[in-house]
Amino acid sequence: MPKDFPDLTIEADEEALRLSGALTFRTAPAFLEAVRKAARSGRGTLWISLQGLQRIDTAGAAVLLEARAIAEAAGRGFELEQTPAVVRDGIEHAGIRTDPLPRPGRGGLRRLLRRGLSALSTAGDYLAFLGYLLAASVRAPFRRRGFRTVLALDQMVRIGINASPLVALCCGLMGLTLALQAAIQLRLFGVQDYVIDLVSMSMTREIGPLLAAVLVAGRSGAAIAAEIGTMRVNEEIDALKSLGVSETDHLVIPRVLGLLVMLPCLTFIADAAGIFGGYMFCALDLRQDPLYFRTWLFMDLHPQDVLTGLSKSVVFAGIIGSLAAFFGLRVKGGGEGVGVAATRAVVASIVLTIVADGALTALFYLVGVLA
Amino acid sequence: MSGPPVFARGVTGGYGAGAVLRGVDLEVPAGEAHAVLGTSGCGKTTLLRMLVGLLRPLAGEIRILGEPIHALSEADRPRLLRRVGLLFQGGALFGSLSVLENVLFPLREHAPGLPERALERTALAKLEAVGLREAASKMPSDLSGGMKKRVALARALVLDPEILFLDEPTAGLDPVTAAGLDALILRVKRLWRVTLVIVTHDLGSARRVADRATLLVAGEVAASGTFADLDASADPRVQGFLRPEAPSPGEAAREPAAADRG
Repeated sequence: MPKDFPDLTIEADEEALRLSGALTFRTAPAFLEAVRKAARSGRGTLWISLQGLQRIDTAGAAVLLEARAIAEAAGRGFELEQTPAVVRDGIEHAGIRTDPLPRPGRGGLRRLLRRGLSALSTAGDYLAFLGYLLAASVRAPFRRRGFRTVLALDQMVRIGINASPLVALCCGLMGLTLALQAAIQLRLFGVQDYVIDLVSMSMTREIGPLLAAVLVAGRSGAAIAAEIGTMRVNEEIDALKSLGVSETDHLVIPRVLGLLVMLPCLTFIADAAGIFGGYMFCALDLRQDPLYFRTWLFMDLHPQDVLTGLSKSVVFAGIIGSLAAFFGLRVKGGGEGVGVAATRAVVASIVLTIVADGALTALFYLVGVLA
Repeated sequence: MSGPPVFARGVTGGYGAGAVLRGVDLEVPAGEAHAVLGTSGCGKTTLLRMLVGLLRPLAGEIRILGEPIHALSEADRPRLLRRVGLLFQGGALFGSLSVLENVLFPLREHAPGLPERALERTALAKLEAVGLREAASKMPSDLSGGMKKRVALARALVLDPEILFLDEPTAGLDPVTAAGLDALILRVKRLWRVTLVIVTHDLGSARRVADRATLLVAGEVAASGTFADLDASADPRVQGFLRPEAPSPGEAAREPAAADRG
């Protein structure tokens, strides 16, 4: 077993503590305990004799200040005596300052205000970025090498085609669960046939677009933010700029376009998978005939149910893509910053998607599209 | 304490099966600043990793503060390592912690019984020693390369180690910042009488900071001693490192002929 630092020996009585050995971060707690005990038991000045001390480290010097505070709190004086030169040097070189410690602003209100302002400024930056992105997207097809078809197609494969099994699986299960929950309630009234209506409408109008968007935000939004953020950290984006290539044209537009095209496709898959999940339940549990299910479905499900959902998904795609690129391009610091950007992109995408969903649903309702 | 604080004899080993180091001896007496010199890939950092117990040598003996570091149990090694500081090449600051929290980290790990105020005073004193008390609440991502190294130095020093190992302290720094860091390292040595082992390829920095040096060439010790000893060495490997711009005798002989042809 390795030898540790020399130990601290404390001889204590009511008036004085005589230290020998080493006062270091290891032995300081025992010293403080002895000071507490001595401070309580006597009165007058508490003398600390350092004559036998061979070594003091920075933490040891800091603890002498604590010892003084303890003695003074107990109404006693505090004096060091017989300090050997090596200890005096040690205390001096430790450079412990006696002034009050800086306290980070504890004002809860001020911190809250600062956070609010910072969030507002981020929101302002995002709106500016959105405007810039829109302008750049309109310009890109007219500029030489402005629109990168191959990159956009590659993103469509990565964002859309690779995600379709996941979306189909999750939404299929969602449709099945929804049908099951609905059947339990509707059976009480003897109208379990309406399970079809409930599943198909809620999937196409709400759950399909929303679930597909949440899955894509978690899968592709995080990936886009991390990719662009890593490129920022590695100075790859600066390299692009130095080569005269716009990072918006090269990185952002293909990804946002990939999302704009593929999220509606994924939403359609989500709708279909959800309805299929609902049908599976109806067929297996309610023993409904496929023909019956299909007739009922086409009678009650209108094109605008599907179309409102798909139009929502275009907006969701814009939100997810622009937020992911926005946070990716703002990455500061190293790997830590990339993680933060990916998290923020996902959280902000999901929140804004839900807000936009509410706003669009209200709009469709007011216009009278939703019957 | 018996023997020198840093002692290595016949150290052989490396990563995987290949031996990066072959029979390396190193002895650093207490209070000395010792530079381990060599070109990139000569095994300097491998030696450092072995000295601090991060990498086990295939053969040879390493004793740190008189203890066989590689023979210690997992439970005993931290007791030795808290008497040793290590400054990593990139600083290796924890990115999720503030500068002050980074410096507090070793204290919180090894001195859990101390009151918070004493811990903070200790950490702030070290930050002041490296001239960064004002940066205590900043995050590492807000610091320049030189500042990160200084914070890392404060963190390495916060437990007042008896030995401080430094891995390429001046790498990636401009000459002015590098000279500032060297001055800081010298001050650390003078004030706290720390034994220093500096692994570097920066000869200028090594000459400023170190009392003696060991030159590694292709995993072997080519020379060891004071810089006067190294300068006086006739070994072409030593001269090749100390004066890379000087042509070797063979090239010197060929050069006039080339000039004649021109």
